[in-house]
Amino acid sequence: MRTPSTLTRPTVLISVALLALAIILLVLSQEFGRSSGMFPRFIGWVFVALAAADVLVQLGRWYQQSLPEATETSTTVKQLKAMGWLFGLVVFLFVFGFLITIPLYIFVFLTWRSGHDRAKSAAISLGALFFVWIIFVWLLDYELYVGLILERFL
Amino acid sequence: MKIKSALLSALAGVAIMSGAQAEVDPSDTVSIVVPYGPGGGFDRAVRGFAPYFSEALGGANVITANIPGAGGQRGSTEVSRADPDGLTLGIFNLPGFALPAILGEEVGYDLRELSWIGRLESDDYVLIVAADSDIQTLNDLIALDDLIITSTGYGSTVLAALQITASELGLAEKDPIYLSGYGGTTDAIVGLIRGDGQVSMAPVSSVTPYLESGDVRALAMSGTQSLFEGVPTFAEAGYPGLTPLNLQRSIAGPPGIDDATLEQLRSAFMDVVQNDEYLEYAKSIGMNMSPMNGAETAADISSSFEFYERFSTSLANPN
Amino acid sequence: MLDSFMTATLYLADGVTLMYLMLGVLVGLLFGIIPGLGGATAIALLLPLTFGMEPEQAITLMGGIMGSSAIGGSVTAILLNAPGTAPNAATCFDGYPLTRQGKAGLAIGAAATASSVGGIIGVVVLVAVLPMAKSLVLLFGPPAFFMLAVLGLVSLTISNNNMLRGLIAAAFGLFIGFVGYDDMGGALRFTAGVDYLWDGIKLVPALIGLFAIAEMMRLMVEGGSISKVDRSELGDVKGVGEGFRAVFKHPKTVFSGSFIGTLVGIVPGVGGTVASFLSYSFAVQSSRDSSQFGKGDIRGVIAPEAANNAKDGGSLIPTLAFGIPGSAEMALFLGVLVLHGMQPGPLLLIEREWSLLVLIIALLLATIASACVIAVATKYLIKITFIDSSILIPTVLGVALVGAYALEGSMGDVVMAAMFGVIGYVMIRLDYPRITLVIAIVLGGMMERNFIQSMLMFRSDWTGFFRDTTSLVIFIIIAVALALPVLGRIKRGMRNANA
Repeated sequence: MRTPSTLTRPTVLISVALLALAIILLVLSQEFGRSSGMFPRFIGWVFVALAAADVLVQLGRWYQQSLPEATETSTTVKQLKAMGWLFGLVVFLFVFGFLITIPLYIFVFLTWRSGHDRAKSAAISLGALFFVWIIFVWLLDYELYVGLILERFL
Repeated sequence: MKIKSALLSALAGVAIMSGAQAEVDPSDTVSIVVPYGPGGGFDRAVRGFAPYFSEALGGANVITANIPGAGGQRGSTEVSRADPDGLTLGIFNLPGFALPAILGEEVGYDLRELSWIGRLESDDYVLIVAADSDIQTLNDLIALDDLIITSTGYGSTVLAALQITASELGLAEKDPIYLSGYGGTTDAIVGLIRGDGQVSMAPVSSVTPYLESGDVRALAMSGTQSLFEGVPTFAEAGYPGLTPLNLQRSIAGPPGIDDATLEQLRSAFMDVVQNDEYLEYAKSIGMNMSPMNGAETAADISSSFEFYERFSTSLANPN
Repeated sequence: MLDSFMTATLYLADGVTLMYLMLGVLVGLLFGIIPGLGGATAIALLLPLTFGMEPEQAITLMGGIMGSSAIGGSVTAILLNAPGTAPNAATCFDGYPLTRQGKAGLAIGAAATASSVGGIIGVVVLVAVLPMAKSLVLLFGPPAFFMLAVLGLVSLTISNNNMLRGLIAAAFGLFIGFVGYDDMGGALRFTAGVDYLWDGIKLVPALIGLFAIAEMMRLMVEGGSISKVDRSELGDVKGVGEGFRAVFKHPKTVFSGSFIGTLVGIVPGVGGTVASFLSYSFAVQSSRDSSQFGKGDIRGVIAPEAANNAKDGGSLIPTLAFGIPGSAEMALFLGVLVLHGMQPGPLLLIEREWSLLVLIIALLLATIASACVIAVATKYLIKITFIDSSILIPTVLGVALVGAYALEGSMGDVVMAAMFGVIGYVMIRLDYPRITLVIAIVLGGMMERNFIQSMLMFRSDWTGFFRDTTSLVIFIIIAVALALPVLGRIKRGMRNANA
């Protein structure tokens, strides 16, 4: 049922990471009082057992089938880049706020990453800005976050 | 896309009603922070109050700002830390916002230092049992050895009121079970009706519909005067220590609003709560109006704070 | 009753009232479509508008919103894997795969039709049980709530192909649900000193991350457009009619979905998210051939959408009879009622019968009207899925994060949505079921709280769960749900042995 591409070392690593997380949560659960701790402790033990079982299953497969070293390098790079784009956006939102970041981000994404021409990219970014502005600012009167820099001056 | 213009015309309608003697710049915007999401009792109280307050302030824009989070603490901390220019106010309840400090939590505000504008509501607490309960009087209740009490969670006003009442009635020694954790006051009342527990407590405004429908019965209530026929006050039943127990909703700004501005806000507040039209409206939306001016509110807050502080040992989490 | 019904119908036949209804429908649809917004935001927005209205006009406007926002939310769930509102998350599981196969029209048509049918059934049931509303609500105490939560978790976990990973997702989801202030035990759990986590991890940012953002991450890695089918192959959109027919080809799915929706709606304090997820997992379990679920089975769209709209009728019962709202939307609606001098409570049902009937009929009309609007608009909406992903990704990411922010005006929600985006992406890659994670987040708190309350009530004697009738009945349903797949396997085994 499992496709070979998911049987890789990162898969095993994530199972191990989950087991570590489960153990940490179980340990943290020990300090809660009677009624606050009852469920976390119980579920914690179950979580540790399940995660351990998963690690064993993964290791068993690894041993039997000698897993490929990693996902194809290109995929890993793509995944890291995707994460970079996502968290880059979050950081920019914090610094510059929504109304500046959104059109800028879309424009940069379209021209730099995807190689669209500038006119088209600008049109799309402004369209998105317009949409956000109409719905959230004009219609809903939301005070969208302005970012750390403008917050200083306003 | 007509919504905004419709909204604006509705607001404009309110603005036109406003009087002429404007001392505050009518172009100012005063936000009243509701530390919870829209739809609850606090939100309702502020939304009903805002248009009249705007009128009393000579047409200044008064908006309701919902800042929910951390059980109300995010919004109230934000009010307390705002510039004391009178443009950021908030609604607070007592004992709700006094409890965290009394229970030893770190909070970002001190109720006793806020600039109080005035009190809107004050609700006495009613001790209730299900209609089909064997408990007929306060003495029946006190005679019970094994008791389950339905309540909202730790840190809530209802649980605190119940714990204080139990301590005054001498029930605390019998180690009653507090079935806390109901989602809201009404949930706890419904739990009582269902028979999850034998006794509960709720503010008058929450409990009235259930008293009227005959689903619950009142054993006693706090305050100096009973609102329900045949129901004694705690003082009449021999427990005067419980008379001050109540739930108040008041408006305040950050500490340090200058005297002139504070005076202006306070007098605008009094204009609103003496306006018959407003009072009628407030009654129609189920508010239990009990207005008090800013100076008295400030004094009352301090004495109430002491009242709850006295019971701080009874207020530990039962679960 | 009949008298009130006539009064209510005549009232709604008025031009101005109908206009309010349509305004409600359009706003509800629009807000439903945008992730992060929803019926609750729409009601909050229009609430000040109702100040000058007659109470029944206000009710009509709100009925329009409540009847339509759920359908709106299904559109983005199907097209972009971004549920517009929390209950639509269950629609993603099969709706989005259908879109990728170029069958978005079919999915939207089916969703709109199932919503209408579900809405109608919910309203019919509401009218039928209104006289006994009070006793229905009183059937559910802490033990019954606990069993209900267990039922939800069990039925979803066993319907997974990869049971171990399903269970892991459930355990992880439960821990996510534990985060924040526990007001029963008075403890702050797993907040690591971060104030933002005081209220726990909120569902909407988590959903935006798990579905919309995770999907954009996947597109970034894989490229292409959402629909795997070439645009030229699709021709004109003819799927909507097919979707309409598909609903009537699966009457069992529609009816069981609507029934589950209404039932869950009646249970006070339980929202539409539970209704649509339970309905989805019931459809998976009760079908003879469940192999296509999660890969684009139309029943996976019909079941949650029918339940989602049916629950509105049901959830009005606890809201009106006791003032216990099952969702933010209902809480706000409660606010509207109170603003217009209608105190919810046992007496409301008797004293204001005709006003309630106005609401009921408005809900009905809104469901049908919004389904029609969606059916007409589908042709244009579908084009989104053929847009090149390089254009879609930054735009959807931006709008999704604004939506996450807009919920409460908190940048913490934006960070949370992004983090759940990564979690969601990892879950897609490694075959951990996101359905189970979400349902565990939703049900975990309810399960824990009601278990502890039950044990307090029973004075630590767990046999109490079997002395409470409602809880016992639900327990039997759980036992049957667990036994059915096993029995099915044995039967199949015997058949194979005979052959």
